[in-house]
Amino acid sequence: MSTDHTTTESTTAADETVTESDSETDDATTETTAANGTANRDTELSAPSVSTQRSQQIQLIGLLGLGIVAAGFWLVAEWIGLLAVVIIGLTWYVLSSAYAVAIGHAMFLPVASRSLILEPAVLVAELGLIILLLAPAITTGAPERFIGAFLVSLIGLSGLAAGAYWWSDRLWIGAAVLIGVLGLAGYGLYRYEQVRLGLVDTETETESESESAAGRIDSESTHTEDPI
Amino acid sequence: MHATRRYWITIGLVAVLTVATVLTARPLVGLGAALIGAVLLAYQYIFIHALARTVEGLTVEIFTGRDSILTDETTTVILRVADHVGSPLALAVEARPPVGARLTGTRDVSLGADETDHEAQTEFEVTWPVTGTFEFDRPQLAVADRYGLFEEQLPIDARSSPTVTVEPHRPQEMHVGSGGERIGAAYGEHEAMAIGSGLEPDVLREYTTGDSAARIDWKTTARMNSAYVREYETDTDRETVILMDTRESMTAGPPGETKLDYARQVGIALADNAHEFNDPLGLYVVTDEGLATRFKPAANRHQYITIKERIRDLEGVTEADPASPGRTQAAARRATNQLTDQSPFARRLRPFLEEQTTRIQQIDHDPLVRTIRSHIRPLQGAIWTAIVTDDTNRAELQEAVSLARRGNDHVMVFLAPSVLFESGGLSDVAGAYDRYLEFEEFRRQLSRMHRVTVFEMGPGDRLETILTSGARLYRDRTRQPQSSTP
Repeated sequence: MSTDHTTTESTTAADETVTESDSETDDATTETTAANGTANRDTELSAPSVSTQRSQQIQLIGLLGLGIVAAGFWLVAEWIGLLAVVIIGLTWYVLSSAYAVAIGHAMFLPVASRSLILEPAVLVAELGLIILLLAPAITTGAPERFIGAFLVSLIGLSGLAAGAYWWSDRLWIGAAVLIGVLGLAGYGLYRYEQVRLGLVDTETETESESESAAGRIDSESTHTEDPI
Repeated sequence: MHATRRYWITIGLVAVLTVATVLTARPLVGLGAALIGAVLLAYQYIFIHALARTVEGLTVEIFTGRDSILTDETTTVILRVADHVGSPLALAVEARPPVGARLTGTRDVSLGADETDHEAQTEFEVTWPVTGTFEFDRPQLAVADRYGLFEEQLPIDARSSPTVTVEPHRPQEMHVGSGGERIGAAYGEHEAMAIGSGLEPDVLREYTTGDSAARIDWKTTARMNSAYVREYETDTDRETVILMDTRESMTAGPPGETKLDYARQVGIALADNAHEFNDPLGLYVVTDEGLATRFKPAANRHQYITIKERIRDLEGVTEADPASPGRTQAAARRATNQLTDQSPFARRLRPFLEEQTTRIQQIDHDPLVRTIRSHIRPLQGAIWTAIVTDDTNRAELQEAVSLARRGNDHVMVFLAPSVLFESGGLSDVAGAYDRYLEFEEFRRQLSRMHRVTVFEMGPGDRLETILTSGARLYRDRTRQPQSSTP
């Protein structure tokens, strides 16, 4: 059915898994279409599978970010810090930047304080991780818009979570606010998409549609075919 | 928007980091969760933005080779997609032909996120087994972002989408005429029969006091040496009522060339004609059980289309035709009686069968007469009634025609001579000729009624064979006794 126009070659194990499963799905649906000839709604449409192979630009920006991370970790823990950077780099290369950021923050555990104030060396490492995380923005087609959305989201999420922690002096409340705000924002965007693209399908609307459909039928029968 | 497995795995990372933040009491770890969460929101926002742009900049066109085809014919359909905004999303567009149409081939096209060529098209074949007018549904668009986080499917508007009219197979040799002669004009055309100041010249008469000087025909006046005025036919909205007979006798004839197949074509032509002239059109369909369809005359597009579809879908149903898609009233009653159990299947089915039993207005006998008396005669205004039937029930037809001629109304009758639809071919041409003459006598008898026009309809080749061979045989037969006389 859906012809896979893009290459499924991948550099990461996770990416291979995704693209292989997509390819299998496509093959199966292609066979269904070829064999049908009887019905027209028995296949399911799917978008072409997407190559998640990193472009050269993303790799260069990612390496730049990794370098800044290395500088930060060197300042924090010297040679042990560089060992942590190797692990972060491997995670980024094998998995993805999100995993690398998660591992990077786990590496901060031995040196991080209980305070909300970040040390300058940690700030440098954080800057590198952010660059690593935002490297794919260059292929979104609207990098400024993407970075703007990221900054607004980051300020909103971390600001509200930090504010809740500061106000309550309980870390779990700050964590709960972070998860809650993320969930609300994600759902809000989902609803925004539904409205913007006219995909809203509420129960009330369905009822009114069916009522109006029934009205149409009634009026048709009144004006055209008479009940016998 | 559908979040993929990859999205949920990333959300899982956020959750793990958040829990780790609480367990280790290190706010810095929570900053990692905020970073990943923020980037997910940014991806989501950018996906929505790209999707909205893609929908606005996408042109989908669907073309078919022909808009009007016969049942079981196949048309080639072309689906063309052009992305004018260079969407960063991978997308596929699927054409959605009406349910019931049979497809061969791939009916969707894909555009990859990395492709520079933003146009694609596909061709597939659609076979149409059901008569009617069909429209393609809105095409379906499926998109995915290049990071494998989000997918979406939604219907989109096509710039051009075809409407296909599927008509039943027509008889090959269609003949409509009288006494073996085809009529030249399109049947269904009718005169207003009211004289006034319209556009079509009708008659000349001598000038009388009160006539407008503007209506004097000066050429005729000069020729005749006295003033003459020309009358014009007025334009009237004459209501057209088609009365279709679909009783068992109308199913006579070989498959695809039954009386009903010819009647259907005449009915569609009459409806087309009324549509062309915007005459209010009504339809009454008589079955063995009584009156099955009743459309009071109306002049709107929906009425014309619905009536034409109804006529196309007309099926003559017989008791001895188990393969027929329809069901007689008696068969429906039998089926309802058999559903005595309380199974979910029986409970679900029973109302439909009971409804069918009550839908048809029962008329014990002479349904044509009863229909005209009860439904057509009470109609207001000038009515032009077209009765499409056969010559099986002649007495009933005669009475029906008499009743339909109310006031100044005109009646047009289209008769299928049973002799042209007899099984066993034309082995007895002389006998068939005799029966045709008998039919012709009946037709003329009806035609002699004031404001009644009667046409025969049927297979032209059979009629020609009967008329030529039969007449020759008849002549030979009449000559033989003369020659044997000393």
